[in-house]
Amino acid sequence: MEPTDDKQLMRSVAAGDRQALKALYERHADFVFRTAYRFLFDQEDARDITQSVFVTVMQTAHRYKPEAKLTTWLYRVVVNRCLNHRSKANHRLRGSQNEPDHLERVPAPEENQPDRLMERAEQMARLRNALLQLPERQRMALVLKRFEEMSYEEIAEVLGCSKSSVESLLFRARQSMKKFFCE
Amino acid sequence: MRCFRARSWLFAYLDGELSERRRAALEDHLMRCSRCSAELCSSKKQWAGLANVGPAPSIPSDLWGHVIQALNEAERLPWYRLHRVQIFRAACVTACVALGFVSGALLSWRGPPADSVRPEISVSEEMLVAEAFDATAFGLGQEKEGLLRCIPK
Ligand SMILES: [Zn+2]
Repeated sequence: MEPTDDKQLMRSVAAGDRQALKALYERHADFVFRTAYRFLFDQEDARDITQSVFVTVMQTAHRYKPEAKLTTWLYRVVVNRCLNHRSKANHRLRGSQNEPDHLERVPAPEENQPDRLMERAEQMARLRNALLQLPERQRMALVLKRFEEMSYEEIAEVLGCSKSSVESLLFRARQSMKKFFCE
Repeated sequence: MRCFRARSWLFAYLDGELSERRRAALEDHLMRCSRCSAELCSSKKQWAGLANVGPAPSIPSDLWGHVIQALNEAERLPWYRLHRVQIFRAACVTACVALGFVSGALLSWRGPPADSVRPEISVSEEMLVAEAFDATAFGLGQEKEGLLRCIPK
């Protein structure tokens, strides 16, 4: 859909129209949920964040200025929610030493080979933990670049920093992950 | 170009974020430096390897219902559970209204009302008193004395 449609919907949302909010939800909730999940690797947290983001959209729609792209504004809300949410997720992670809700089924052709499946699950858990060790802003930049394929400029807008800061965040994140892959 | 510089540009190169000039310089270096080429190769592999983090689950189908429920609950919140910003805004509005009332009252107040000093005498009656006083003081006639008698004490 065109961004102008988003703006029109936001005007209706600001007037209290829940159908317009639903239309926005249908358009953007996947991104919100996916990003929150990839940042925290916790379905419950991703649910909470998605829910609270859309409640916030409804409550603060009147403050949205149509000069800004809605996605930028929305992604900022998501990113801030994720960055503020980490303590809860980390706490849960420390409390129960299980990997985040992690080990949902990984699609694999060799699923009938339990050893292979186990190995894959372990590899995935290790990788997720390595990502969770990254400083939050590095991790968010990495998620937005690797999984959402956003440009440096878009990430900079969402994180509220310069393009060169994004480059530096991604550089440091990749250097850290390189250690993980080389181990 | 030195290897150190080339390495610092590799990720931006992979992301397609290098300027034309830098890209050309890096590609030129990569053609001649096997170590940096190998580094580029492994960076590509690691970037692709992040896919092993697994797929994100699809969004729960009942989540919209929870959003609506949360909105309904937020609308029913007692004042002390509102967000701090909402409380602050409400406090500001109340303060402004109160200020308006107080300043309005102050502006329209012109000292203690006249009747607290001399009750029951209106402006026109005062004029009559003055006229009557003049009349008696200067002996100008009976009509004015009659007027004085009509005025309530
Ligand atoms: Zn080199």
